[in-house]
Amino acid sequence: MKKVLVIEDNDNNMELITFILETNHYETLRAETGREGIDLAINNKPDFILLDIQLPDIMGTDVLKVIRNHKSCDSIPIIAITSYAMAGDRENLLHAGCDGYIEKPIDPLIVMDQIESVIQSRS
Amino acid sequence: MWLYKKIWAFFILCTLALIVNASATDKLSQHKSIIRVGAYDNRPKIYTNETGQIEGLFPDVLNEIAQQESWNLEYVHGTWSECLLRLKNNDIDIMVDVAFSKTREQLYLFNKETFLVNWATVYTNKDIRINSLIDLNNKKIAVMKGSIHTDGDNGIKRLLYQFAIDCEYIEVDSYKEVLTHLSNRKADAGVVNRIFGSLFSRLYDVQETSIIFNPSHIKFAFPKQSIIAPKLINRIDYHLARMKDNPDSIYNKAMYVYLSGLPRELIFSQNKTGIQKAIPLTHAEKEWIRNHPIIRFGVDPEFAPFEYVNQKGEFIGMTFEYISLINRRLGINMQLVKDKSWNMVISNVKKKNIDVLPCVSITKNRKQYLKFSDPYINFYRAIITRTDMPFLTGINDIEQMTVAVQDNSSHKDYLLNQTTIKPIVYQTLKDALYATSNGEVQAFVGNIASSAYWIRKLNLVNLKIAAPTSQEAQTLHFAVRNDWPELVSIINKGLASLTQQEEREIRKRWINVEYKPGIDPGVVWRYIFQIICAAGFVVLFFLFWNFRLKQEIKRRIQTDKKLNEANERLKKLDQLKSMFIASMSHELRTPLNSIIGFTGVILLGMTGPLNDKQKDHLTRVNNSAKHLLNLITDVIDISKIEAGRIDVYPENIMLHTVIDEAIISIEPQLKSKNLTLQKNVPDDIQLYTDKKRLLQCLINYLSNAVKYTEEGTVTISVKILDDSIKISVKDTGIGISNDDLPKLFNAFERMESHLKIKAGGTGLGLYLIRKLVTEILGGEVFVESQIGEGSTFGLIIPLSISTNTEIETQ
Repeated sequence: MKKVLVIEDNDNNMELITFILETNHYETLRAETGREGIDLAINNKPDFILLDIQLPDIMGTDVLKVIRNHKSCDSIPIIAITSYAMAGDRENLLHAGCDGYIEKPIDPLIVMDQIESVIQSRS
Repeated sequence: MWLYKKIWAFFILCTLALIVNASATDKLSQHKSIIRVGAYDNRPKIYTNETGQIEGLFPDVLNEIAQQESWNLEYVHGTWSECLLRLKNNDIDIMVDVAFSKTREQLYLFNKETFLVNWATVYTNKDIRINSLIDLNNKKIAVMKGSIHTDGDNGIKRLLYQFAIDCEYIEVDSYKEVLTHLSNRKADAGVVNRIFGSLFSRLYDVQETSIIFNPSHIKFAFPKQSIIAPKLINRIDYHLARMKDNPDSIYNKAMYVYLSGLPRELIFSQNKTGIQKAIPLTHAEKEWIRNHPIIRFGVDPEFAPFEYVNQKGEFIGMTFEYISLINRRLGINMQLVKDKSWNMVISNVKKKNIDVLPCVSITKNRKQYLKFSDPYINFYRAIITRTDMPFLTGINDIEQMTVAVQDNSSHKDYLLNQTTIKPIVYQTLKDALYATSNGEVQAFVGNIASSAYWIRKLNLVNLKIAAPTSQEAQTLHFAVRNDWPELVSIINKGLASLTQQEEREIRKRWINVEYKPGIDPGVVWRYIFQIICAAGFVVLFFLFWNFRLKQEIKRRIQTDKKLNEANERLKKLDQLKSMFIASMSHELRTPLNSIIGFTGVILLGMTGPLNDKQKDHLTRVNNSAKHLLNLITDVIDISKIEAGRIDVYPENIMLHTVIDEAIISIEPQLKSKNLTLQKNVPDDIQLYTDKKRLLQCLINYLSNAVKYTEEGTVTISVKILDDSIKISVKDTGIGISNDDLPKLFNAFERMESHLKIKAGGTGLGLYLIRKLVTEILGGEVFVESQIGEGSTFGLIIPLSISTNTEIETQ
């Protein structure tokens, strides 16, 4: 079973994403802050990471950079979850090294396709 | 008998009615006997002076009204909040200086006529720089307790609350304390009204900011339960309206004096109108008048137009009008002694056979046996020569000449005492003029008005008014025998009671008078005289007008400045509003995202099977949430554009890929309605523009086309113009009438049609497209349509965005 790390501070979003992932037979790791997310990423080596870019402690882009710069994690695909209103950040995200992004609201019908297509294009 | 009874009953009824009526009136007048007026300290509107008297803009005007209505006012002093409490409890009858508001209207009665318009200004101490409302965040603000600028509907508290600005309020009892707090650094900012601020801020170590707010109409307020309030309101409104119209009224004078910081005495000075009705004579003066039933006066029979004898032998002139007015007003009786010549009059005065000379100027000589009243007519002293004499500039030019003058005149004294001229004295003015005309003397010095009159009357066409003796006007006075000083002060009071209007009337009658042409006209002289007068009036008029204009310009410049400042502030507020909406909308999206997500999960059956009803209802929830989300998204975009906060990301793109992307996103709707899509797009067009925004516009156009088309085709086509491209989306839908076309791109405009409800939509779509195209992409939108024949919507944007759009990056 593949392992997914979800870094998301909003409880509702966390429940939604992990529910969809688990229904699709993924094992999920949950982090509510950027710091927690970085620890879990380094210690557990998930198969990929879903990262909300608006986090309470560290900016999503900074979390991204830290994980990317860590030797053991530099190949883990990272997918950002963005909000439409933050449109200006998206180009920054791709620059900062994320592999793709999903826009809110999350559509359960297509979100798995979006995730899988990003991971496939990476491998 | 029966009739008798009936009449009797009628009589009793009438009497009863009268008594009831009388007692009601009585009640009112009892209440009226003392009217209690709330007073507090708020210079210059109302304040207590050094002697404990209440004065200021409001009391001075109110006292004037009270005097005319014979009200008896009693001022009840307190703080502002005490006054308001008294007003509420009907402990006072009138409260002055209350700003009108909807909330206060619930509590008190107000008169109609606004007393003045005021607004609030924010001041700061010198250590702090504050440019806008937002800078007040986390500051200590001194405010007056209970003031409309503090707690009112548009007061500072409400205003800052609306902008989520957080600050600490220090509530004090007066505006004075507000400024004291600022200069002691106990507060960072303070709110005072504009009048107080502009008059007193320089006495404190404070500075004015450009923040102004809450313009308010200041009126009189009355207790709701007061029974005399309607009557008071009626009378106050009546007087206020009249006073506003009259530039000389106490109201207008007080406004000018107080708002310019001038001394209060100016309001009541030169106020002839006020004492017109009753001249306040002292007891002694009244006594004196009773003891002198007849006062004799003498006049110069040739001193036209002031006093003279006409052809019919009647004594007439301006003087007589003054005398009859003063006689009437003072209740005295001045009677004319008809002496044939001025010299006889003078000798009678010296013998005290004549008591008063009503129209003479002051000379050293006359002072020995006469006392003089205040001046009431001015005249100019002039030099008269023959027309063949050379040009003169003034009195110095005739010092070597032989000069004629009338005996016993002020001119004689003037020549003897103030010049080196040794005049040749003639008994009458006429004789002196004849002598000048005949060449016996070279010049004559006399009063310009009377000389001009006699020159014309005697037809001395070889005489001219050559020059004035000086620029200063000479004054004419009443002269009274020197043992009657009481009469001088009585006459002065009489003169003071004349209104400007009355004096104007008299002057008009006698200065513009058509002199009787007993002899053929010396028209030239009349013209000269009139031209001098007219020129004088014109010059005066222009000076006055100039002064008025200057005042007006000053006023307008100030108003203009204030307007500009207010305008700047409004612009900032507007931006603030848009920023607010943008961040608020973002917060609204987060819960909506959860609703859409979870209903989506349930709809997919991921949590277990649903029955049809459940599925239908949940689909509605999901669709509604999506609709709401779209609406919010549109609002965010629009407010971002309006706040100038939207970012532009131009990049090199292939047009056909953008169009394909747009088509993909509307494909499901297209399929469900069984419409065909036609695409006339060349493959090789490259653009440098904001891809996301262009895509947004295209999706919007396409989904509109699908929404309003029931069957047929949607066509998207591209045409290259010089340095721009035209993209149009054509449908075969219901079409739009010509009347509706111009309104189409406005916010919330959705055309009436049977499809309206079915089609859904926010009413912001086209408005947003227009905003995006014109303000972000630097292009324009267009639409062509006819009812029943479908519509074509489109946009024309430049091939490259960079050159003509820079505003967005601000």
